[in-house]
Amino acid sequence: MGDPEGSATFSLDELAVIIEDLMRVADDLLAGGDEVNALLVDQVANTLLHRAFGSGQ
Amino acid sequence: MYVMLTYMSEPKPQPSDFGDARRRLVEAEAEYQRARSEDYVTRLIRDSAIVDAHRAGLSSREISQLVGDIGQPNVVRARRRAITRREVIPAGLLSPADALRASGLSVARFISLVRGHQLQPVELAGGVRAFRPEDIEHLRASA
Repeated sequence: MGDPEGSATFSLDELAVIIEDLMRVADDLLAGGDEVNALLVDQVANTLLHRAFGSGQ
Repeated sequence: MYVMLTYMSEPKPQPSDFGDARRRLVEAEAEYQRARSEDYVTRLIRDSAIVDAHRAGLSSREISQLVGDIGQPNVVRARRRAITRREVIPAGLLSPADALRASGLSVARFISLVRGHQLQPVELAGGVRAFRPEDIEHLRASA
């Protein structure tokens, strides 16, 4: 990524893998008692899930 | 089907400074504690204040001190990987991540069900989507 600002495009499959990884990290943080960072990671996962759901509801 | 994400070299400047972020977090936490119903929207506001406080530079330790029971429902759900009536937030809803955890489904399958309208989220103000616990429970039962 040469351009410091812009857009990146992911397939739904790629996005699902990213979300899965994030939620695993959140679960590990929770298990270790770091609930603040777990919640922050969960917020990112929620945002990505919103994107993945699409707007055509 | 693809999803486009925007990235930037630095976070956009926040309209408030460090002190404002702490004050808003304290206010949001107070409102959350007053409600005590753990309503989803109240929790969203509190969670948003936590994210803002983190961006403003408050440490995780200080946020934990300001916010009493952060993530307790999440902890229970994440550890048990199950959903029962007793665990359901009173009159509450589940965030997408919590709903996904409770469903026991893969991420791809969960997204597919929502996109295919087989699982209908609740539309809240500001474009926020949440899920009814009973829908997730039904999903688990039929899986």
